[in-house]
Amino acid sequence: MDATQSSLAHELDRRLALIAQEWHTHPVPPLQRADLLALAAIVVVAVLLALIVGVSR
Amino acid sequence: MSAHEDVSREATFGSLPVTRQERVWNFADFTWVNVGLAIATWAFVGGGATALLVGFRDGILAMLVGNAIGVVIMLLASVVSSQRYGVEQYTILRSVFGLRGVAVMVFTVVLFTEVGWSSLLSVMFGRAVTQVSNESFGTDIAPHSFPVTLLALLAIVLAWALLAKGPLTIRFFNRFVAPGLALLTVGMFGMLFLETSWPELLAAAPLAPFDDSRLNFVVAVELNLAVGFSWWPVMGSLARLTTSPRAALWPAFIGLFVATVVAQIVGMAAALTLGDSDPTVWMVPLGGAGLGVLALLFIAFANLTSLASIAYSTCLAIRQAGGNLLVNVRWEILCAAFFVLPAILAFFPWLLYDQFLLIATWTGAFLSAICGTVVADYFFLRRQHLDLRGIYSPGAQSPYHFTAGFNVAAIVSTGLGAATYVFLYNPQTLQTHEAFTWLTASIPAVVVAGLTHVVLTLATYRRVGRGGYDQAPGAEGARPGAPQEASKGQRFEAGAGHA
Repeated sequence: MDATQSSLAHELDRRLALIAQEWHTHPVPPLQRADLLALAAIVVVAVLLALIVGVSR
Repeated sequence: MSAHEDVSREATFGSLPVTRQERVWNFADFTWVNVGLAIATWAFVGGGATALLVGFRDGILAMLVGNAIGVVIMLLASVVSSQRYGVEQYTILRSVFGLRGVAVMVFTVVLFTEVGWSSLLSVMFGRAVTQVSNESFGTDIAPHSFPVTLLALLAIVLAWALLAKGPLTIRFFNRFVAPGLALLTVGMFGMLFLETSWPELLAAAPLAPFDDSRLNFVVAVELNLAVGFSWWPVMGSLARLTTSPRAALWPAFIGLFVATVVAQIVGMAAALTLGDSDPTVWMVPLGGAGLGVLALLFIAFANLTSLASIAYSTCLAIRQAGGNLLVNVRWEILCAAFFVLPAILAFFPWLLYDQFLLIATWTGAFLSAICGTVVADYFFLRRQHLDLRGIYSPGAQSPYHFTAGFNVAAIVSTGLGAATYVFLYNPQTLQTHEAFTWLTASIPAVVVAGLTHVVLTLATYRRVGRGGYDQAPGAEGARPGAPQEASKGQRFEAGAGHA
């Protein structure tokens, strides 16, 4: 293992340990259901719009 | 920190997860980042390409529909997981394709699509500068002539020099370019509507449509779906720096959807009223000799920063996917190697620049399939839970080792998704299946890739307890009774090894 790889491995270990601690105190939540529903609504509206225009051709 | 140290550090350590302190972009910051990304010169080209197929009203509808669906699916496949775990996209993709599977994706799909976009931008630089020369000095340089090639090569050399200086230099120039392009877009919008009446704009005929009006509309939607998917290669690496899931998702949607559609509408309206889809052609007739030339010069400069930004994210992906083979290759040499293909393509300036639909839809064919696979993996199979330490564990120590480093299920699913796309709409021959006019090609590609991935994974890796799928909440092998965050914390401590 050369110097770059060694320093990379050391930095990774430091970060993983720090992030594990952070997750205990300030966990990053998954994407919420409300956001997913809002995205789904955007897609549904876009699909309906496309179908209306497509049918009118 | 000097620019050289900065680029070395970023290229070497860019794949590591970011800590809470390093997440610096809030909702407003990230909105501006995305607006700057979206109002790039290719948005004008995209608008012009839409004008080839449909008129103004249908064009706006196609842009709204295509970009909305494309951007939503693309965000779910890139921004969400990278934001949650603070890990750039190509590293986190190990959980989908396996360590070696990511390299397959990067060295095929990502490399070739980004080479295509880089070629387009370098030729656009050449055409913009030759148009300035034609207007200002009375020269008569044709759009496919050798001077365009020479200037495209110059653009590549300048972008390489910018890239070798590192991301700080690119960010410095983007501070001027992004607001400048936003001003240019608003200015052109004003000029267009001062010089053209609303009824004229609505009555303008598309420039080169097919005979079937429904087919024209669906191809325009497909083109704009592809524009939405085309952001995928860069978004995850940006989103990891945001402070919360909502500070990543909605600014990205606002920036990439709203700003792109506005800039595309300008490109489409100019193309429809001035009769040419190429912004380097309509810029001078629209802005006049003075303003038009200035706008073209600015477009040429903006292309350099866009070119450097694309090459930067792609070279980082190549370095990370290349593993130990590329870790000691000098950054400047890696970037120069990336630019070899765009430099060769510069000798054929008509090949990709005049074929925007071709580049965009081939990009869409592969990226829609990748997005379908990634969304199915992260949301349906893993329920938004990954083993962060496992992502960085080497070889068989990683739960994401799959089969010798390849997730065969994900690779087959992506291939099937892309094949579905080409079956419904062949970007090369423009042949379409009847179902295309109702379904488009991207949406079936997303669905086929996603469903195939779920079925193959449940039948193979999940059944034999490989791939870390048994750690998802609700799965048989998941740690019982632990709330999501505590479970995640435990998983950090339970993991072993490092890259």
